[in-house]
Formats: sequence, structure tokens, C-alpha cells
Amino acid sequence: MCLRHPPGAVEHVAAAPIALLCAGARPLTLPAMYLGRVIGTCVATIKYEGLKGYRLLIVETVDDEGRVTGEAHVAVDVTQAGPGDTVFLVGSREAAQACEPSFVPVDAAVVGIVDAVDVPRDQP
Amino acid sequence: MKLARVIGTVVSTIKHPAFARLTLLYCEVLAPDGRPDGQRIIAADRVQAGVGDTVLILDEGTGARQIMGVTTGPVRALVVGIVDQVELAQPA
Repeated sequence: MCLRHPPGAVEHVAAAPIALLCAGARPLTLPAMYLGRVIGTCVATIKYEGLKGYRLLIVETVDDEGRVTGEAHVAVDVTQAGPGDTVFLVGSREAAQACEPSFVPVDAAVVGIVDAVDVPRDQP
Repeated sequence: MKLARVIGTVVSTIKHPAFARLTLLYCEVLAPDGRPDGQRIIAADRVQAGVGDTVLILDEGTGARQIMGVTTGPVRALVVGIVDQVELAQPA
């Protein structure tokens, strides 16, 4: 589940049909656990049974200062996060563990809403 | 396993129950020679590591769950060691 979005086209992406999200997709390599920012929601009426009842969010990977570091992608949400929230995610196979039952086709899951990232600036 | 340096902490109140009582560390992954390789990840702490420490990160879900004594849970990266020294045969 991968999409590329030009800067400033967030509204367009959020409203795009899921076919567009998958168009031009290339392998998405996600770190194990990483920071992200929710930039939209995704609605899919027809989906695999195990995914029913789960919200889908469009998330871009960010660093501790909120700078975008990677591609936007779709992630399952178990925390009721919304657009604008900074979140942390689990990628790859462990993402499915966030869902019940855990045998679901998920490769990214929002597992927490981030209140703060505390990075001391006077590090050596 | 990955070498990384702890650069900060992540505070989260609303989170999956699997992360309850776990400290989340914000880490930059290091090459063996100690240079950051550009990737920044979050890992749950099991060894009381702190900011500035060079650490060993287990990046594998089954092993992570085994260490935490659970059979399910979306946890994948754990800090499992604090590195004192890395010695390379041929310095880069």
C-alpha cells in the first residue's frame, strides 16, 4: 500500500479513490517502528474480511521535528488517531499483530498517538 | 540486530496495550563505524538505556515478544543491550 503525493496535494490524495493510491506503487520498505503524521483517511468498502471494522489512515513518515522523511502510505489504525496527529507505527509483519484476529493483510499499523518527542539538542 | 544511538524519547498516552509501561526510545541507526546511516526508528527499552547511549536493537517481532513474555502484540524493535565498544578489524 503505497502512494506518492506532491507537496500541497494532500486534500487531493485524501479524496482519491483507492485505485489511485495503488497506481504506480513500488515496494515500500518501512522501518520496524517509526514516527508518522496522519494526513488523511481512506475508505474502502470492499476489503478482506479481517480488515472490516478497522479505520485506514494515510500517513507520511516524519522525523522528530516533523519533517517528511518518506513516502505516504496507508496504515490500519487502532488508536482513533485523526488527521494532523503525530503517531507511531509498527511496520511489516508485526503490524498485523495490532489487529484481532492477527491473520490479516496489514503491513503498517498506527499503534500510538505521540504527545511529544523529547530530543535534547545539546547532544555530543 | 542493529547498532543505534539513542537520541530521544517518545511520549505517548494513547497507545496499543502492548506498549503499556514500556519506554519508547527514538534512535538513529548506526553503521559499524559509528556513523549514522540516516534511518531513525523507535524501539522499546528493556535495559534502562538513555539518551546518548549506543545500543543494540533487536529488530524481529517473534524474538521481541518472547523477551516480553507475550504471544501476541505489535511490538517489533526492542533495545536489548547497551554497547560499550565496537572494534573493527580494519577501521573505515
